[in-house]
Amino acid sequence: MENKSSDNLSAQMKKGILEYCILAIIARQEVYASDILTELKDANLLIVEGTLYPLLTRMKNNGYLTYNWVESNSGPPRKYFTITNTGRQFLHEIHTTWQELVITVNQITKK
Amino acid sequence: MNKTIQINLAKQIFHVDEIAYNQLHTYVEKLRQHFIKENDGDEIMADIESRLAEIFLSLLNNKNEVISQSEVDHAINLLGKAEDVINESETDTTKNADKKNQNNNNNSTKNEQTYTGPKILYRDDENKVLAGVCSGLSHYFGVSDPIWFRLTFVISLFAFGWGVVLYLILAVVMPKAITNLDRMRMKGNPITISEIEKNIKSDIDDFNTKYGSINSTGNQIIGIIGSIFTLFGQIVLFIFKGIGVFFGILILVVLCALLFGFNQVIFSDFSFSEFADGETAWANLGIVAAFFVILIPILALGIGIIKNLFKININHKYLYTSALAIWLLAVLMSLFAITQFSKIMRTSQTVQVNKSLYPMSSDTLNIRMDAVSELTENMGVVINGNKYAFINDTIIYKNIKFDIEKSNTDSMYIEIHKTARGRDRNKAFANATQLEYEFLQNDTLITLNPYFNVYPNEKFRGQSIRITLMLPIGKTIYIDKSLFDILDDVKNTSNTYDGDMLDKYWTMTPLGLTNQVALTQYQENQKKQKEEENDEDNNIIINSDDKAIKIMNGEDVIIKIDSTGLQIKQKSNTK
Repeated sequence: MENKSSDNLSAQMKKGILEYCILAIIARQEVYASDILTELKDANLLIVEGTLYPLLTRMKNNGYLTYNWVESNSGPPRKYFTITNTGRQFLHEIHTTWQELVITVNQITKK
Repeated sequence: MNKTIQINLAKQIFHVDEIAYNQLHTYVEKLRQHFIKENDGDEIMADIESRLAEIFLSLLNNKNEVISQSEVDHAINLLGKAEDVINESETDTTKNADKKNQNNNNNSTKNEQTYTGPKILYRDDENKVLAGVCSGLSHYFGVSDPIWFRLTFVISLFAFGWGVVLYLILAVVMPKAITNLDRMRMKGNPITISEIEKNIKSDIDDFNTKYGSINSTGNQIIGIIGSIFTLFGQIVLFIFKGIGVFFGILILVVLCALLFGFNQVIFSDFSFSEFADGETAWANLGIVAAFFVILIPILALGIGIIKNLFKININHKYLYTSALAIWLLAVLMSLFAITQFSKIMRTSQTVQVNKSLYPMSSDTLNIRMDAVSELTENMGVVINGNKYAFINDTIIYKNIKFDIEKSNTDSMYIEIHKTARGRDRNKAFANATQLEYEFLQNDTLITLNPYFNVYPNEKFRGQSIRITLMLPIGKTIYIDKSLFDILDDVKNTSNTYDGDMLDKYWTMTPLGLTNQVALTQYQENQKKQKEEENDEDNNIIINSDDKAIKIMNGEDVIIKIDSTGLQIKQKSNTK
């Protein structure tokens, strides 16, 4: 039981930082959904792919992201995402929050 | 047979079978119903459909392939079950904590991507030394390390190279694991005996349901007749299949034996170039061609059998066409070689040379054959039961026959009959004359050479040597055991077989070659046989014309059983 609840907690933590990480990936360079998926999966942050798409749409609606359509040789056209200025500002804010969190957590756990 | 439905995902057309379609449709609809409530719900759905299209494209080898349940399962596994996706993307934080707990637990258990379908034999392209056959096999049979299969193949190299043939067959038959789904199928549950049993059982069940359904439909009598016909059809089909398999295996065994013979030649010290001489340089080509004539059907049959065994269904159209082309070419080249060879071997000529013997100190002479040296025995090849060896550019043959005949004069001599073939009489004659044969005489001891020499420019021309010792009446000869191989139906008065003539003294008499002990025994046997023949005069005749059984003892008594009853007659009385 304890094991399961720790799983649950870490899943919630991962979920909490997911948006932050997605935005960070897009901020680095122009990417499309599958690139983000690969990176998140490698980092073991994403459990099911399906969750990414609603998040991206929401962030776009919030004005953090825009996208361009790019034709693909091997499949359907792809949405390439780029970060907006609002998005950059937002990212900066969460980044600060995250840094503070890390420091606080470290301070508490290493006492 | 399955119905296929054409669908459009992100402007890409896919063919989906009915069951898979229903599954996919339910999945997409569930998601749509949830996301439609959100802002830009359509856009989210379009993104998800686009991702589905991408996943399917990565799973299919080509776009015309039909998407089945396993591909849909795989895609849903990647994207997440509808419930999971919905719960994960839930923004409402006031949701019941308990419910979230539960759902998150579900997520963690569904995280592992599992494939539960049948395991399929693939080549593992990501873990390969040559073509990935060994690692594919170890996936299939659940062996953790492919090294065991690799070792087996390496070891088989020393067993006449059979592993190479098998590896080639497997490399052709086993498809390469390209897509993710291929890799999942490759690594699926290990195949166990019980699973094979299960497969066979389901086959039988299939048959039973087919058979049963005919029984239950319509008129009972028609049903029975129908089922008898079906059963009959099944039996005929089974027999034909059986015969096909039997002949397939038979042909395979014969071909393998032939190739084995080739292998032996290849792996011996004999090299093909030594086969040929000035006139037969093309023979090398013919031999290589003959090798392919045998090898290609072996590969084809092997591929067929393994495809059936592992139920692999792939098309090798180009491979088969090119293999057939190579095979036909090889057949043509072999035929060419054979006709050329038969041209060169057209006529046979025999040259006789008489060699007189020096006077001997006694009337009894000894004949034996020189021991065959280890060297030549080991390095030669055997063709048509004759031994050929190559020493210092010369071929030495061991195709010698020995005979003893009565000399018409008082003098003892040896006739050497040298035979060879050639393109025409002159050529054959020249080839025969060229043969060199030597024997040694040391007073009464004659030593025959087991070999004769052939010149390298005329290698294989069906050369043979027949030695006839012309023995005058009154002379005696001791035939040594070493002559076992070469004695050729030597005529004698006691009809003794060649093998039994060894290690005995034989004297030439006016009647022929005689050994007193053998002759006495022979005559006694003849006598006995005649007596036995006389004893066999009791006849039983069953005569169907008279419908009678007659038992006749010599010519005296007749016991006759027929429609009139039993009659016993004394023949002399009835006359």
